[in-house]
Amino acid sequence: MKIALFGNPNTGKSSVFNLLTGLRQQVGNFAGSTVDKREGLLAIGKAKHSITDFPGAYSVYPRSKDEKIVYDLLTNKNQEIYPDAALFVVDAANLERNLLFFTQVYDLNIPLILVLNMWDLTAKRKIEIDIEKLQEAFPGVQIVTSNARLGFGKTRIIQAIQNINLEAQRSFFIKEYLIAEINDQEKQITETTLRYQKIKKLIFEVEKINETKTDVFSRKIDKIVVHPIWGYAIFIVVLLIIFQFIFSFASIPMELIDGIFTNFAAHTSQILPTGVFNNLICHGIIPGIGGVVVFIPQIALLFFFIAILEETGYLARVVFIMDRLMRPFGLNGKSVVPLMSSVACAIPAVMATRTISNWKERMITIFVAPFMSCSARIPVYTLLISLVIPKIYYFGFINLQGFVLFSLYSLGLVAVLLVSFIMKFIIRSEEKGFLLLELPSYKNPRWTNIGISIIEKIKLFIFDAGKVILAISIILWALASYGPGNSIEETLVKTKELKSFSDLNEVEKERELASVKLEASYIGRMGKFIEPVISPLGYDWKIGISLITSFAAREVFVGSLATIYAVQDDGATKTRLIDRLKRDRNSKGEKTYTIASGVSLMIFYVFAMQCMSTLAVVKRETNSWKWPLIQLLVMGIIAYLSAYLAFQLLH
Amino acid sequence: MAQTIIVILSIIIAIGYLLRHFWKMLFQKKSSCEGCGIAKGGETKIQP
Repeated sequence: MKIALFGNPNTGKSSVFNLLTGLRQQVGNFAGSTVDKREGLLAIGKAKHSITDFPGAYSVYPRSKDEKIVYDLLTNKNQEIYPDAALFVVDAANLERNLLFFTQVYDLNIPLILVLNMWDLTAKRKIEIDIEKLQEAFPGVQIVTSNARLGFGKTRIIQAIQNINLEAQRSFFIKEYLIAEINDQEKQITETTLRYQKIKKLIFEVEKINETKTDVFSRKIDKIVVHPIWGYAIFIVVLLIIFQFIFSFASIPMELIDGIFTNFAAHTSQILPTGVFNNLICHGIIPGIGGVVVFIPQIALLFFFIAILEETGYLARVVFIMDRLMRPFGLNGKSVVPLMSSVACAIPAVMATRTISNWKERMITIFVAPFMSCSARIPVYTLLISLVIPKIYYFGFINLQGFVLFSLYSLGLVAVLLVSFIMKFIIRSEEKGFLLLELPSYKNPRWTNIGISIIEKIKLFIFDAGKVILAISIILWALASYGPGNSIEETLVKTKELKSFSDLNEVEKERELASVKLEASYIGRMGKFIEPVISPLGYDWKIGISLITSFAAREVFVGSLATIYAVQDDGATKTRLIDRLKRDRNSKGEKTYTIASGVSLMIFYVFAMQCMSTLAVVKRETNSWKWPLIQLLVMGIIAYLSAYLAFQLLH
Repeated sequence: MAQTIIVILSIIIAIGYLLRHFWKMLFQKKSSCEGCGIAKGGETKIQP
């Protein structure tokens, strides 16, 4: 038997699918986790049933690409995958909203099992559902309760599948129901309105809601938190506090990790026999990896705060107020969720745009999503802020460094709004999307969940990004340690002959010679070749090389700098990266990292599309190279011009 | 000599790994982010 899984978004269809098939499909506490159909097998005795999980839909009439998959299926009975029966999963605590799509599928005469999922929530929210009365309204349908996320209800669902009546004729609203044509919106609206009227009557009979204390409390708080003025003020304050904490609290573990890595490099250098391998480990790999690992406390703190905001229910309010802010700039209401998730990473954000119905609006969202500062930018921002922004406190508690970090995130949001506004005129669209959002009650965060989620993300950060950083560190070390032919030795001899080191002490002389050696290496020559392009922005060739390597992933920028400077500082393994950068001087003898060059570099990273993974996912989502290449070019131009302007103004 | 061989091998492996990584990223299905690994979806096998 072919069994389809239908239901509204975020009702736990994927959890039911996993429960029945034993698969591990990604589930998420947000609408649109499933944006494509998936299949699995359920064996009951000798009978084998195929189960297909379809994307969530609010109605049979599609408003997005993923909903269209369901429409296409239901409007063509001759398809091979047309189901013999369906499991319709509803969120038991939101029965009214869920019944619209359910009654449409019911009227299509598909044998149905109604799964009242998240049943535990009904008791928590003091919702009483009269299942017998509900059963009377839908003869032929078996109704079962479940809590699939926690693994409850499997036996009941399997029993219902075994007893399903494939012959019963049904109709709730229209006998021999015909789905309106996809373009006939008037008919669709009329049907939906009349259907809802009938559903409301039914809900009045079968459901009794007793408002809990939490609901009353949530409603009172929401009067301020989603207020047109206070809502934004509170959000800004929350962000400011988060960035202050990120800067102040992360410094202790960061220094600890930094110390561990510098000592480790020094110790390894002593115990390994001298030679190229020792050099590779102590001046290539350890500094490269350590340079990025040191920022893990800050990334963990950011994920910690995002998780708290999500767990408490505040993030849903942020989505609500951001929707209001973004509409005048031409962004679809459904763009808000992808853009908010961009703060963690642009890739799931680009994938989440599949819930946006109109392709033009979807393109705008895909186009602007990488402007939101992702977690990979944190190592870059933090390093540069610590380097060029003084640690000053205003009013005794506002740390200037934390404020700059907040400003960089805000700048990303401003770029999103402005670019969307411009694109609104370039890509015109008649159709308007809407955001259907349910504000959950405020809850205490589940600390175990938060802890597990942070550990998982950090593990992935270390082991996924770590492998790329390790490989790049090895290659950079090789390119920085060797040059064509005997060029390094020849340059050293020439420099010693031509240059007088009389005004320098021994350490300074060694540093000067190491710098000359590095410039004569392969990487130095490549860097010098591109330097004319980046020098108007205030960057030297070492920054240029790190900019290029960071196309692999933004955080590679820090690892690359760490490797290049470690090779330059040959012999001094106990120096921290930040100290190396602070004392670095360019060919004119000026400090490389000043306020002007630092701010210019930070602004460059706010705007530039320095992420190959995002380009790849945009290519996959748009099915062509055109959009990612336009995105790369436009973001690159904006980044270059803004960085140029910043450097010239501050220089 | 042994050190040089290990270093040369490390460089070859690193280049090979990066080429494979970029090839997979650009031309094969990949739905997770290097930084946060949030979207690990799309990896469900069709059969249990």
